[in-house]
Amino acid sequence: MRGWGMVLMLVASLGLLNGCAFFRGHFGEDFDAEAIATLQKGTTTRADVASRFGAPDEIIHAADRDIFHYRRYDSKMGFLLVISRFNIKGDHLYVFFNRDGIVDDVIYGKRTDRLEFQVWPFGD
Amino acid sequence: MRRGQAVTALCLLAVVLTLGSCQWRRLTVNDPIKPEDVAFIQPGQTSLAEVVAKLGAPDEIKGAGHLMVARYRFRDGKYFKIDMGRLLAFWSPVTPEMSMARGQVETDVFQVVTDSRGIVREQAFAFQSPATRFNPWPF
Repeated sequence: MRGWGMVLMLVASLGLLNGCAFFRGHFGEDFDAEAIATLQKGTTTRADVASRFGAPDEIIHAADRDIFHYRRYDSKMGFLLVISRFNIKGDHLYVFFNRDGIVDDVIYGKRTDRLEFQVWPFGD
Repeated sequence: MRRGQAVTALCLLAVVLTLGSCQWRRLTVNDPIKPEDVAFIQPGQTSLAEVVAKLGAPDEIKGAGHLMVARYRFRDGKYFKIDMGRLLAFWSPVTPEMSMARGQVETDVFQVVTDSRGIVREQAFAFQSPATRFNPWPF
């Protein structure tokens, strides 16, 4: 009898796995933290930034300064039978330049390291 | 098998079949920012660097004259579908779709306006749309 219980549990587990899927998607390259650390305020030039990170995704002009904006997105989706959850997070790097084209400020935020595969759609 | 057990088994089967014809889907973009998360911001005193240290890098920065606007975007979407046609799949040669579904996406933006020195001048939530819930009723 106990053996039959085990078989039933195995079949049920296989049935759940059959309706189970995980997806992952990226947009853009992951940022190299070491390369970001080499950006020195008052020293690094616009050309240096472009050579290390490539052309920015966006060039912004704000408050008399040019800003290079680099971005990356990561997404994870978990799917189990009738429930699923799709999470997306983005990383952003902003490099501010003064009027002479020298780095004035750097803002970098990484959210994708907290991105999780989740299946349960309820709650937070 | 007694009659009570048969009724229980039938009820259980009905519940399982009904649950199997439902779908719950959730979409989350970035972590939501709540008013208490930004209570530390004092216009005229807090700098953009302090905001970034607490909230991370914004999703967007725009210029507005001598001012700079940093925007944080976040979304939460819920979708619920029930397809009663799937109940017929066990004894019908065709599976007609008899669905009701509804999806809701809560979109919000938190924005910070700074001056040319990077000091916060204003802060606001842009939308604060109502909280979403799983609801299949489309009408």
